[in-house]
Amino acid sequence: MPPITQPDSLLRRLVDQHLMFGLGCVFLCVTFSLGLAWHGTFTEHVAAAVLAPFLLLLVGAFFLRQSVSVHADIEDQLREVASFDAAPDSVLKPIHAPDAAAAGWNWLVETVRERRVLAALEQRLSEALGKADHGELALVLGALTDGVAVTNSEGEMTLANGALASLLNAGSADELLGRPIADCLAEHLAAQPQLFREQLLAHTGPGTWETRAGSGDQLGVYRIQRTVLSTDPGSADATLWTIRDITQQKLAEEARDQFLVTATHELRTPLANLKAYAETLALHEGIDVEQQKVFCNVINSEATRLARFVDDLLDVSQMEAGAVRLARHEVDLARLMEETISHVRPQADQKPLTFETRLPPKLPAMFVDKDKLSAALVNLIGNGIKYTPKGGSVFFRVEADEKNVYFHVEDTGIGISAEDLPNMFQKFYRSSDVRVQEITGSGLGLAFTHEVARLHGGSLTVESVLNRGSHFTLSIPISREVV
Amino acid sequence: MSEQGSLLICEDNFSMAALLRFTLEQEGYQVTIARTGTDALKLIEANPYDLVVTDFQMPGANGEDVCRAVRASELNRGIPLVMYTAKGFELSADDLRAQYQIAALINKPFSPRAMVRLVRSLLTEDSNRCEAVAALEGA
Repeated sequence: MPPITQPDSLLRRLVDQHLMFGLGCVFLCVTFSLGLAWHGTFTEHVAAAVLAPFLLLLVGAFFLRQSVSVHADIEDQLREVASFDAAPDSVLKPIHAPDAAAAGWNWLVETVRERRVLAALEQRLSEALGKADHGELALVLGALTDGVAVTNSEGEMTLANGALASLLNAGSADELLGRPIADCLAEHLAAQPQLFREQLLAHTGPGTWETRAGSGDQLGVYRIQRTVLSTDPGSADATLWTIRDITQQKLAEEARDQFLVTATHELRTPLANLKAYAETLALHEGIDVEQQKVFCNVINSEATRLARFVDDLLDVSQMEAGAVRLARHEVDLARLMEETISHVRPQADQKPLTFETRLPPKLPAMFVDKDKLSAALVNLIGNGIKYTPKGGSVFFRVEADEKNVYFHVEDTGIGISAEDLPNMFQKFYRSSDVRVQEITGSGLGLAFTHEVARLHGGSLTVESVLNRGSHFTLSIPISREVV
Repeated sequence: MSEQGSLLICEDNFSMAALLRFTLEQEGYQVTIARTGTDALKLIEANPYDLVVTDFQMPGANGEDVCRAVRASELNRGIPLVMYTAKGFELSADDLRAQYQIAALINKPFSPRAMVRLVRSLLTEDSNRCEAVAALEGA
């Protein structure tokens, strides 16, 4: 920067110094000239008397000009700024002069420029952040599996996410905007839309509702929650709605409740018999020996029944914990089949039905858990017997190819409806068909059998026609390497 | 000796029904067993009994249906009713008492001896009736 000199202020220079000097000079020259004229000499120099102050004034003006050029420049720039409505960025320029005023001005211009740059930067940054915020928020809403909506004081949706759009069969979340949420929810999620809509509109405060629509495969159970969002003073109340599909949860709960009912009955019934018979044997006089034997047999069989159910329960808890383990050994399949069939024969003999078995002459040795596999087969055959009415037939057949051994259990029993079929291997699942409900069962057998198949690397499949019969196929791979 | 009374037992479990028959016949009662709820309802309409003991869970009609039928029937309207069940806390003794005037709601497993005492107390003017009820309901 050129060296800064510290002159006197503008006012002093303009008025005090230059003007006074000029006026002084003029006065002196005029006085001198008049003096000379008075004396009569140098009258030819009268022109000089006029010219001299004039020249002095010119020179003075030149120096004056130099002196205030910076200030003139500043004044010009300021005038230009005033005439512009928009930003004076291009208008303000630094002034190159060794003057303090110039330096000050330059600093000002620089500062203004910096400020403008910063402001522009700030705006761009906040715009970018704003976009980022919205972008992220939109992504989060879009990714939620729960339906989310915000409604205004009229109950119309001002915000909705993709999950809600799916729940309400809308093409996209945007389609929902402006629509009344109570109507939409009632129409799509409630079994009785009118009634449910009234419930929703009964009051405007927070609340939770559960709705149920459809049945079987189409069953949908939903939990709807409403909260009032805290408001800024000045903006209307907004309400937040969340809608969650709790169908699976409900089904699981109901299946478990059903299981508890069954379990209580299955435990208490044999216990009641055990206690009653034992007490009678102990306290009653006048029971003959034959009668005593009969009573003891009852105690025995009830205890067995109880034990079997307790085993079921333990299997279930193992399955729930994912802790079923296989103890695999080389097993002679023919022997295993014999044992299995002898297990189920008593049950088959109790009922007037035909129980046939067919085994191939040669069965491969297999690397399996003997007890679990036997239990699984006993379960399948036992089911066939249980759910086939008198006079029907149950057919147990074993086949093998190079890869797998197939255990087929076919019956002419009550069959399984198309509604129930997909759920057959679920724990605790029991058909709501009256005929099934009348037969005691824990709903665990097929889940267990399915698990055994899976752990062996095999599969369990079922085909069935309602009222005609069912065909279960358990397939187990022969190779050791599988699983 | 059927002077003691004629009883209807509604029980689908074969062993339990057999034992109740054995115990009560030994006491001199005439015992009829209904193996299903539907059979029970038919019998209630057709024959007079002095007391009905019924299980709750049965195929066809359940114990509550039996109670309702008894109170609605011509022949058996005013007789004592006893119900037992393997269910947990789902049945309310108070509700059943209020609705069907059952004498006792018993939980399985129960003592046959106590059951006999209860039946006897209900069919006679027995001052120990309350105790008999309490002995079984508390079980």
